[in-house]
Amino acid sequence: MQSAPDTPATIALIGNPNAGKTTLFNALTGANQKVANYSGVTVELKSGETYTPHGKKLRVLDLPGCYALRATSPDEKVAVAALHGELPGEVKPDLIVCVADASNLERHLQLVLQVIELGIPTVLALNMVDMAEKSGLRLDPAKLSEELGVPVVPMQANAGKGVIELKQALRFPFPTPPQAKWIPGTDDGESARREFIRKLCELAARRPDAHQLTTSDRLDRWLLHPVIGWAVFLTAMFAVFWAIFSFAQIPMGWIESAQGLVAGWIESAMPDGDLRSLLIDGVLGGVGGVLIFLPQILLLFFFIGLLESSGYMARAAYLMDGVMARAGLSGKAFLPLFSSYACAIPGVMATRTIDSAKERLVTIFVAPWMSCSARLPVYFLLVPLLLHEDEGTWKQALVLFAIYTLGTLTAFITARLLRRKLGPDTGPHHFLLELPPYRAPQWAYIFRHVHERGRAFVVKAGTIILGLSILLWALGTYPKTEGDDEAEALAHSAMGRIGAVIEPVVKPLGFDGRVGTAILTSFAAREVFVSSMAVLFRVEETDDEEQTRETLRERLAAAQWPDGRPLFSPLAMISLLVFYIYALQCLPTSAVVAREAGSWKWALGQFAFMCGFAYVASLVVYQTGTLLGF
Amino acid sequence: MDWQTHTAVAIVVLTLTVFLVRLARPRRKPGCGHNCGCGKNPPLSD
Repeated sequence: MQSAPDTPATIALIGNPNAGKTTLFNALTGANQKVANYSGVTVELKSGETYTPHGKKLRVLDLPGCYALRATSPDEKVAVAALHGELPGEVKPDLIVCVADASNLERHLQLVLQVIELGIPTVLALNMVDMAEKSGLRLDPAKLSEELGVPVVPMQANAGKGVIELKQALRFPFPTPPQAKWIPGTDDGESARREFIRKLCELAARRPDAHQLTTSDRLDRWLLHPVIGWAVFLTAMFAVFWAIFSFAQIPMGWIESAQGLVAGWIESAMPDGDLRSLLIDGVLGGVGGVLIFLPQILLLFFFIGLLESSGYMARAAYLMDGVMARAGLSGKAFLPLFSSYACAIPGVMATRTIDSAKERLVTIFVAPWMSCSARLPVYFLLVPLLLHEDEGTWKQALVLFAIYTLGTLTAFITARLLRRKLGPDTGPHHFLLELPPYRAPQWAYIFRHVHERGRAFVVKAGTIILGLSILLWALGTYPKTEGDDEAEALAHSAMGRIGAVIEPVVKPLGFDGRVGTAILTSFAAREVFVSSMAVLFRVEETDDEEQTRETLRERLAAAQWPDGRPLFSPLAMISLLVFYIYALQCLPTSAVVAREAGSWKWALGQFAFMCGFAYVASLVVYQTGTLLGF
Repeated sequence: MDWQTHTAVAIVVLTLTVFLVRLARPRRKPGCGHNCGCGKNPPLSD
């Protein structure tokens, strides 16, 4: 079924992974889909709109990358079904724009020829011609067009070059479906294509006689070295964590000062009362307690964007392939697992690039153990409590690095055990990794991505966290007592009563009822823990402004058990960190897991297993530590 | 009860109402709602 005459014509963008489809899609439609110098970014269909030079509207589909039209992985199946018009609710495309990396033309032409064989009007977007020319390739787009029988548009999509020329090629009427020259007279399509590509490249994409080492090749000698490569990888990862802790200090100070100013202003403008308490302890304490971590989250996404955009992430995947194999997974699981460090939801969705269903299920199962950014506020709250800033930010970075390593190692061990239990695959699956040339980072995309993540975090703080902070404040305030004793008032409140019920369950882990209540509230979203703690651990206001501006961290450091022991002993904090490393406290992740795994049983099993594991791990840490005298 | 308590209680009740209404509202179907195929279970390969 093709587009009806009154509906806009549909154009499908297809190409090998990392050919630049998403960059071209963004350039054509003005959208802002995530772009990375790494394969597997597009794992589902995305659609947008563009216009021909004559103002005619066109619908553009961005298909997942694939190396051939014999689909094996779920994302490739989506791409092939879309080209055949077999996706429910989707029409067959009226035109296909095949995006090929000009610097790797021999390989990319395999897919181009298969697309042309479909008999649908096709345009070849010859992307990254700048890189091809730099490597010494002599391209002849006119000859390519003549031999393939389709229009060929040389372009550099990331710089916006060639986009206007491509739009010119999308004018009505579309070019007639080409005739495949290489099929007639042969039974073996694969060999015929290979032979045709060899001849075509001799004519229209000639490489220099002597192989020239590019800058990327020279860099890869070091960055992919079995020893030096790993040293660089570990140093880069550690540097990222150190930079997050160090660089964020200044803007965090600004946010803290702003909060203090607002609190001071409210205090001077309003007499003591419930509304003032709600505004300062509930709203400002809850929302401000989460917002203060915004600089660190922005920095994390900035560094992830930098690594992806520069092309280093693909090298990291290459290095990690051996490690993945030990966990019973392939290098294809690297991107989903790495994405999960930002958020498990795109990570779980990115598992669609994995061919093997069993490997995919295992990757989905362990992905939430890659410490996501929602855990960061909890870590950023507890790590400085464990190790004060004066002891050196590098020590804090080391603890954060250890937290990430613990989650990752446990995920790998579990993946190996689970993979063994599920048994071998019925068919062979291969891991093919694109190593793109190193490029200058696309700053515009990185900053847009950072901005989007930051906005999502602020919106969440301003909606869900604001609401929960208000409700928590109410639970911690009502019903009220007659006296002025804060501790008695909290014990009498609804929150105090809930805490008393929960305390026997969490006490073996080293937590009191308030911490237990904060954990309970964070099952909707982990970062709520910080705002809950801010509301639950409010201190008595004094005339001393400095004291009233004490940070939540200082309040927690001063918290005690009824017998005077510090509540947040180093052992209790490690126990709490361990709990947050392992517990699956994210409803949207469970919903996406249920959808991707095709069963709620899988999602519920994962939830029960991870929360049970978190409880037992935390219990073992605290009880063992106590027995050893810590 | 003074005016501060009245206002604080009103804000709490309003917040609770918003949460309850959001919980009771029928959920959107999975996917982005643009026929993108992202709301469908992808077929498994083996």
